[in-house]
Amino acid sequence: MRDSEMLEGRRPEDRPAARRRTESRQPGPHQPRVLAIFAHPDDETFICGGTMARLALEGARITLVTATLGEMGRRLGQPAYATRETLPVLREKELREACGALGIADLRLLGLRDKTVDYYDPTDLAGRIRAIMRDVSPDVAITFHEAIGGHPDHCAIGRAATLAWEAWRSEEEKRAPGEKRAAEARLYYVLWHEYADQLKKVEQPQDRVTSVRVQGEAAEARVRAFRAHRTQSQMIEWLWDDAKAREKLIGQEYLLQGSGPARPGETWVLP
Amino acid sequence: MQPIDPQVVSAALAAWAGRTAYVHQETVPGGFIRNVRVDIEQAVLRGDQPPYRVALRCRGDAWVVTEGLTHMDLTEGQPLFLCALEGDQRLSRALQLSVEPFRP
Repeated sequence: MRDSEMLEGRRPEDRPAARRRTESRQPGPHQPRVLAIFAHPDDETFICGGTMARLALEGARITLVTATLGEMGRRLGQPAYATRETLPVLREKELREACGALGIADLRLLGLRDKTVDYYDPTDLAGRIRAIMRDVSPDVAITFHEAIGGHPDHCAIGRAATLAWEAWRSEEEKRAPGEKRAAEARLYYVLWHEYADQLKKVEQPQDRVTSVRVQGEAAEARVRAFRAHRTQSQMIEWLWDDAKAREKLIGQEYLLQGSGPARPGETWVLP
Repeated sequence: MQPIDPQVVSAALAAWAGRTAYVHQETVPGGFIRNVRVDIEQAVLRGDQPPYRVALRCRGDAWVVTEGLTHMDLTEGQPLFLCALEGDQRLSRALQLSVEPFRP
């Protein structure tokens, strides 16, 4: 098990999004706090890297919880240069580099084994995530939906995160009834690009979809983060051509609103 | 990772006879076993051309048989790594032997 790991000590040139953040905006008591909870290194980048980068550029402090090191991934580089046993070491380094690119300041590894998340007791997992929620006190949490995560590890961590969220919210409500910040905290689920079919599975109306525009610096950060996960991204040909990568990675990311009344037409996650 | 050289792998496997090994074996999709300990009596590679098959005959009439192997990573002092890589270099099978347990 690893304790909380900070990236604050990294050289500033490794984290341009964060550098601009501190130049343009002083972190203060109202700095938004975001908690992202995913299963594997690269989930934060491949699925919602643009959203992460935009949040950091707008001054949010992002904590990323990554449950496993993706040590059972089938991609070992191109050509394959990792083994099962070197892969987790490489992927942890790649994850830290991606966090730097996206402006994620606080990385916490749960130390579970890849492809086994589904076999842990969800209540125990939720307890560990709730402890992080107490610590971070997020304004926004982002995770997988348990029904449409697309991979058993994704669904399992999403389920645990949702249980943790519900427990933490009711705990906060008891602690400080009616407190505005806690009452307005939001939970989102990531949606893959072809989200219409996924929505049918969870019977969520379209007006619960938040459509986030990714462009400019956020898109550039997304390209760098994709490339940082090189054992997993070396085989993506368009990624290594600057013009093609930019074209592909400028665009929309989609999130499903998981708490509160529907906010139709919403285009951003911070209140 | 290099294509399996049957002579090299056969020699490496022969050295495991009479030793205790921790095994990691997986098939994707299929499942995996990890850090299962066996006392190897005989370890052999078979097949005239890729893909190859490897069998570990172990104490207590135990067997670990892995088919479809194409690639190897044999480094002195490291676990023995055999795997199957698909055309796009993605891993689809693996067999690993180690004197020490693999990381949790």
